[in-house]
Amino acid sequence: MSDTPKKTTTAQLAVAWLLVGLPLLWGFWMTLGNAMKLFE
Amino acid sequence: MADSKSWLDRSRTVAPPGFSRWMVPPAALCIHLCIGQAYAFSVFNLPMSKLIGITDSAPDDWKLTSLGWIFSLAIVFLGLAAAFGGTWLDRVGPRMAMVAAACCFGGGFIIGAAGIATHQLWIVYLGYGVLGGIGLGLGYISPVKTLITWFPDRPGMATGMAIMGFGGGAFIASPLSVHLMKTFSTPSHIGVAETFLCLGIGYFIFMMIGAFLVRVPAEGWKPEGWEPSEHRSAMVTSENVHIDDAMKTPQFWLLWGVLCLNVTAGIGVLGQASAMSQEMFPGRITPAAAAGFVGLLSIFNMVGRFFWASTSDFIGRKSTYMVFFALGIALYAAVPSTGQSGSIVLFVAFYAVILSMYGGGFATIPAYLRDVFGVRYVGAIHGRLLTSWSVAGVLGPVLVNYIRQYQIDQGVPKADAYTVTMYIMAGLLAVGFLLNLMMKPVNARYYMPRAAAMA
Repeated sequence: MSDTPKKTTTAQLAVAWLLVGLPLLWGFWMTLGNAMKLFE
Repeated sequence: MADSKSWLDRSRTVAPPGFSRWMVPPAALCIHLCIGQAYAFSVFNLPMSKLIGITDSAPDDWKLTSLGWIFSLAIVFLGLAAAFGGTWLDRVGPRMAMVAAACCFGGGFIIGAAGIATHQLWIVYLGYGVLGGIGLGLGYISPVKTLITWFPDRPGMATGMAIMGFGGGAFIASPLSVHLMKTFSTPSHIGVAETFLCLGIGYFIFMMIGAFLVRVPAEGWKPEGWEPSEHRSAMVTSENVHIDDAMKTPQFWLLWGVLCLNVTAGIGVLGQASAMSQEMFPGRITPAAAAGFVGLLSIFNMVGRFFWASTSDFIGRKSTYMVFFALGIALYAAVPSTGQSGSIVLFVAFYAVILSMYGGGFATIPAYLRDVFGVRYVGAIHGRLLTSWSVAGVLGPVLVNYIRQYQIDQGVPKADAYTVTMYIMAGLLAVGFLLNLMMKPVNARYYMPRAAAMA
């Protein structure tokens, strides 16, 4: 363990969340498109 | 080698001062988004049954009944790995567990690809079923304790985010697998083996990113400005119960029953949603619309995980489960009337809420366990509790399928064949309601001495 302060930057947070958020949004969008067939 | 060992060591995962805890949910999501693929495994069944015949199944092709065992094996090994791997995980920390999960899950796909390429089903069983299943179990429980430790102020929301990823993993895996199979297929070959290989490598890399990102808080760390409430609910303990003692308490088995009954009610419906919607509304819900209905339910299953687990931080876990069971009883009992009145809108709305509570049950249980047994062994206790999922995974579909068939054999029209099942589901939820009502704080004699809990 390092006791040296190492502040997480906003860019690191953004990259981490985009990494998981983008595939999830893509999958969500595809499923939503499929679900819309119920209302056609 | 020494370096790689030390990188996996728990001590190397302790966060330095200034590290943002909001980096941890993406790490957990890297794992859960991958292992959530299991929910989408059925997209491979039909292509794998035509590997030789290509357009139709040839006599030497694998049968769907044999292929069904791949998923069943994976779920059995998920339960076993979660149950028996929890204490190991607690000892070695989240990074080692995540790496093990990545190796097993990614490796399971790669071995499965070899089995498909050589048309040896036992290799696929061993690869995806056994090894992949172990990866599923280790991966599922690996971030739970870490998230709860980082978010003592919002444990429900934190674990809800990760477990939402498990629901969302199928959203990604299903269209991605279909796309890859289309890319690798030729008129004389179905590209399932290549798809397995790509997915295995891709999932391994993505899960390793999660292992790289994950950090545990330093000893004594707490969120800035947050103090544990002195007026915490009697249902929330500040003590810890050892995993072996937890299983001796009635609370563990009450929660085992609560999760099992909540999952049984939801999983049976999820598996039969397409057929049920078409049979309850013959001629009005087409097969394409039924597929849309299944998609809509999976969205509510995923969103419910985050919504209900986050809500439980405000209203309490016991109250959240009270809502699941009370509302679930009312909705299950009301579903047959939507078929009789021909109201598709109400039918869809009722099931959407039911499935949100099914997902919510999974996502809220880690925080419930934290409240009752403390943080120290919550990951391992959660792993053992997940055996109820394996039981429910068999019980739910069997109840729905067999009762429907019995009704039809007795001459009941298909549109009404689900009525008794819905009432039985409502009955199961009533039992769950009573079990949850019986939940009390753990007897103080089970609490670990403070020094031992800190060790």
